[in-house]
Amino acid sequence: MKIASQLILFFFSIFLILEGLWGSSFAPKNLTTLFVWVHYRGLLVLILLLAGNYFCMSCPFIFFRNILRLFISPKKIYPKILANKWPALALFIGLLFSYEYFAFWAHPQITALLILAYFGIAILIDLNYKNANFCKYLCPIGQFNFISSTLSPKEVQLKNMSVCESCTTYECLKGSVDHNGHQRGCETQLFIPKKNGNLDCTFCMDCIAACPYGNVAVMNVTPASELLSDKHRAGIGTLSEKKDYLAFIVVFTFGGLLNAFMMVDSRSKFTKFLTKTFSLHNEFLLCASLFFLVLLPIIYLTINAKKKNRELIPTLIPLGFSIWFAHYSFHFLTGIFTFIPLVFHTSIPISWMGLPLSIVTPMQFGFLFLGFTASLLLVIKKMADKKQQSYLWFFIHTTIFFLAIWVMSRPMDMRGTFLGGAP
Amino acid sequence: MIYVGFVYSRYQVYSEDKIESIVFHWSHSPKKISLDFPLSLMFTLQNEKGNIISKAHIDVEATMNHSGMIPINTTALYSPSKNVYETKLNLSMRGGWIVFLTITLENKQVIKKTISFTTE
Repeated sequence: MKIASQLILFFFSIFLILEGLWGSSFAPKNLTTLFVWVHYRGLLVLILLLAGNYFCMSCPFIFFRNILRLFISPKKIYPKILANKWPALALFIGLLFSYEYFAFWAHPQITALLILAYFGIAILIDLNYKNANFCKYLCPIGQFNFISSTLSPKEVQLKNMSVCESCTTYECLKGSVDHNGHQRGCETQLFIPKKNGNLDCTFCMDCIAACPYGNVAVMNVTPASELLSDKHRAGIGTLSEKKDYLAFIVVFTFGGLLNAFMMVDSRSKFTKFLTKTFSLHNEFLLCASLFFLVLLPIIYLTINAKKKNRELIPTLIPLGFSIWFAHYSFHFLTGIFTFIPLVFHTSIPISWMGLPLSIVTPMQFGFLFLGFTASLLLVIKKMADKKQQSYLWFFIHTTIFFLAIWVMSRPMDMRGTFLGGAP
Repeated sequence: MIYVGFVYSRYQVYSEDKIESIVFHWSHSPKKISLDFPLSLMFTLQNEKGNIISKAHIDVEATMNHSGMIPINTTALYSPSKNVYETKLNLSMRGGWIVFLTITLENKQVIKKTISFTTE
């Protein structure tokens, strides 16, 4: 199933690159922008929530990398100084910023080049260094998927601890050699007996294939249950001590708010305010100022937070994910069938192109409320376990929730989308 | 093979007869484009001799340059009193709009035009 899904997405990626580079330069008429920014993102959050990190499992970049690794075998170990989430965080923020500044959603060619860039960087890193360092330390989509999959109902886990306790060969990590050849172990260094949750798990199933006892499988778990525990995680450490992971969780949450805010009318008003007040006319600086004003302070606060607050940062994930989910599902559900006229060169009634706002908008607010509730429940449970009481995190979650409601209820304002876009 | 055929068919260049001698003008009302009032678009078509073309069919597709946008599809009808083709659009979103016009002349030839504007 993994190879089949990787193959499908690989050929689909090739098509998207061709369509993006040589198809219509107008985004609504180009399948690349449509499938990447509407359908892929919508399906991504849906599958992460309902199943698990199956998109990482089906990654076309790693599929291609695996083919090339049949001929080129990397020998080097990834530099320790880069073996953390800070480069990935910088890339993630850079991607969010570039998405806004270059208006990726309006440019099929840029979208195609982005896909090519992903292929290029994945190959460059993983053909030079052993293991899956691109996935673990660089890929922005992967980091988004890792954090989101902490809410998934499935997890790759051991079946029986006593089997692992008697194992001395650790094939789940080191890989195995049998009559079929060499089978990789976990390339993100998640030792199965010590694996706790879905963070950094690409669902590659290499550990399942490598275990000679058949003791590893995809198991059902309670969504978000891994966020209640701060115990040591294989390949990661103790989450509350990993400031890079915590900073990512915070950027994941506020980045979702920012990404939605950039599409509404209040963003234009705020930009006009900055222009008037500070005589700022440079588009780059105007866009960057929003990111600096929002993301830099919260990263700083995260790095300098006390341990008791660091332990509660993961409770942001359900609310942060619900913001992304509400946003992406809005575009996905309202435009789900907009590809039909493009693929089949036929027109369909406008009402058939997607769900009406009267249905989608309440669903958005419902998702947000569910995420908010889940985050609050995590806070309550964690505080009860620690016998702590603090209103700070109730305040933080409530503020983010109401900010999200406000942003999602603002009318959209699609300005600055003519950059070379009018055919 | 189906995959290759599908990709190939998308990038085929089909020959198209183009008439470049049509004079096309457009205007809008109200002057300030906003979501508060329906927007009237008016198009004038003239042939190379300057005569008004009154028997064309104009399909109008108004959309915005972001993927997944649901377009507004309508038709511009000829108004003999004003000598223009006119249509009304209830714009659904602030920002930059692009309008694709498919003009079918009496002799069945098709001309495509594009106009754009931004809401206040």
